[in-house]
Amino acid sequence: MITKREYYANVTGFEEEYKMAVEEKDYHVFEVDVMGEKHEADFRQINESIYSLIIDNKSYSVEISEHGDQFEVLVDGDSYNVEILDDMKRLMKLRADVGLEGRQVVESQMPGYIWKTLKEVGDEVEAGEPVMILVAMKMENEIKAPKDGVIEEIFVKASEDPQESTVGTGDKLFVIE
Amino acid sequence: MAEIKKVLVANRGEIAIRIFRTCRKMGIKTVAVYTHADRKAPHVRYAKEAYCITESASDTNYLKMDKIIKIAKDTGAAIHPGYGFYAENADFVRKCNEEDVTFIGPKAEHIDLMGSKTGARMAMEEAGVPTVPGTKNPIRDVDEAKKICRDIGYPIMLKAVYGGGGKGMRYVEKEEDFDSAFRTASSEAKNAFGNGDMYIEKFIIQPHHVEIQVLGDSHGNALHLFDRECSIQRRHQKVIEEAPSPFISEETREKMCEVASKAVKRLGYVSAGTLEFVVGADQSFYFLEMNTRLQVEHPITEMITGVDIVREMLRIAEGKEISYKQEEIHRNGHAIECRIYAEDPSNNFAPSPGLLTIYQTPEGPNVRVESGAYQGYEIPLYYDPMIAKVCANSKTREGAIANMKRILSEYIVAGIKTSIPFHFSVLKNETFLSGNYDTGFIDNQFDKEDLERKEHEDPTVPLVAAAIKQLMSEKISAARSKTRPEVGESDWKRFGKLLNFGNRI
Repeated sequence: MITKREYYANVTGFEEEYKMAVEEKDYHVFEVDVMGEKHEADFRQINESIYSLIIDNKSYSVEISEHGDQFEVLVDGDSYNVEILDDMKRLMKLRADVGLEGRQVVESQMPGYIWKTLKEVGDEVEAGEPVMILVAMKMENEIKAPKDGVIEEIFVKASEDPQESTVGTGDKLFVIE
Repeated sequence: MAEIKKVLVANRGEIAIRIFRTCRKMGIKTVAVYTHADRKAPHVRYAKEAYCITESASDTNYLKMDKIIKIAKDTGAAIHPGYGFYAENADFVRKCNEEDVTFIGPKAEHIDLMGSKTGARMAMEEAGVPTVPGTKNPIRDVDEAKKICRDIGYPIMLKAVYGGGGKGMRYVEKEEDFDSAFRTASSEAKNAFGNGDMYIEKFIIQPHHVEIQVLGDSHGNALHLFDRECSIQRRHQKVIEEAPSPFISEETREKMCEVASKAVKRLGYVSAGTLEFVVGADQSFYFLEMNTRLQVEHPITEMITGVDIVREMLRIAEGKEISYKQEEIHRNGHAIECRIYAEDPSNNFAPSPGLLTIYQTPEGPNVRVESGAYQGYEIPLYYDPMIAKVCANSKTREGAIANMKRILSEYIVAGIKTSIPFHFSVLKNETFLSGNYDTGFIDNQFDKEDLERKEHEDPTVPLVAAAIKQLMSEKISAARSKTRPEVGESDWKRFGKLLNFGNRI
């Protein structure tokens, strides 16, 4: 049974890397060490994504959505993107950060449907040039090339019938080399 | 005109529910129409009858005129168009008339008249409503045009007669700039619209968008329900509205309201409508256009006047008189509306449809919520991104703002992004609080960084929350991997073992 873990955390918009330790002391009660400062936290799940969190007797209603090691945390109307990594994952990430150039896969940032593709496989594009048009909620959004290069592969087929060309957030749209 | 016993709302989402609410209150039966994509939309459940108007899931379009009118005819219902879709569509009204179906809204002729920019301007001028000074006809003689500009005063706008979308439009600050502005705008218009005709309009400095809600009935009665300020807009779409306008003076208000109700009477306009005005920094006001429909922001007017506008529309459609006289309409306090859009304000208001994993609407005093969503609802991709409108009221503007902040803090949505963080930033913005903001607010007086600014500078709370959540997730996956072997041996393994066993013997 895991009861104690050490983590490295990053928060979008904050420079620092936070070293943390979490220990489960009792049922739902945790001792959390943030950069050497210890806090007692009582953590209860209210429903699918809302939690009641009492830290040192201060009460917070917190919304958490989890995507792997990424957490989107909403507190008092503020939204934070927190990444929680253990030793291993931190090392892997440090390695992965070096040398990510060349091929780039463009993913959909929002759900919608691909109404039109403006470029074909093999076309040369400049950074910022629209490659396809995604329609969501009556609005057209240009999906632009993130860099200069050649379209290597297109994963979606455009159609005016939304049923045939629906994409979700994170779906691969095209590869640029 | 017959008594209305049943109403079909040719619309969806929050506005369908808003209209059904008044029907339910009045004991009028309700009929919903829906598309395949909207089978689980809340307006379908709120109504007592529901008819699918699409043939298959690939058709997401609500514009099914013949079908909708036939359903109304067969079920004996009158039709309320809501806003959008068939609102302000004169053909639809004429078709209703032909089929003997009561249309809850204005006459076709008024919809047609107000649908034409020049027609509306002319009709309003005749009815004594001031319009933005400028030329009616295309510029033929540049010197003549310059003289007109001197008369109305710079700055002016040059606009393409057949223009739109910002093309063929130039801002001219002084006469020296006129020639080159005219040349470039005219050639731009010629290329874009095939016609280089230009007209002149006075440029209103720091324009405010203020509108007057009006009602007219078939007995020639007309009245106003005071004003609304709608200057906070993004992409020419309103985001926050308030009633009354904090900007116009009592004197201006009186003049605007009087002009509006007189125009309605003179036109013989029937049902609810809104006269939109642009008001300059100097309190001069000019007619822009008339909306011949129930508007999204009508609840704030209802909150300060106590008039149920939908109820009046129903009564007027039955041929009855408006149930109020002008002198019975009083203003009481202040109301604000925030539109909740499924969009990401920190990503340039990009649409954000999806599954609402959490959806909690605010409760408590001084709140009104009109919502077309619920927890577990998948917001469809195909329709307007507005999922709800929230209104707050109080005796004073300050009170209404304080109430709105409290109310929005209880509005909890997960699964999609909404405009709620944007509303919070606006409600804290000094220009907004001063009450003197114009239509350039989001572009000029609103710091987008405000959206990123956090109440808590210290990230300890989110860190603690995320770390505990991570530990718990790891525990769950550890428990899963431990219990898996006990579930049973895989059939492939068993097959292999049997094979080995067989080979051995």
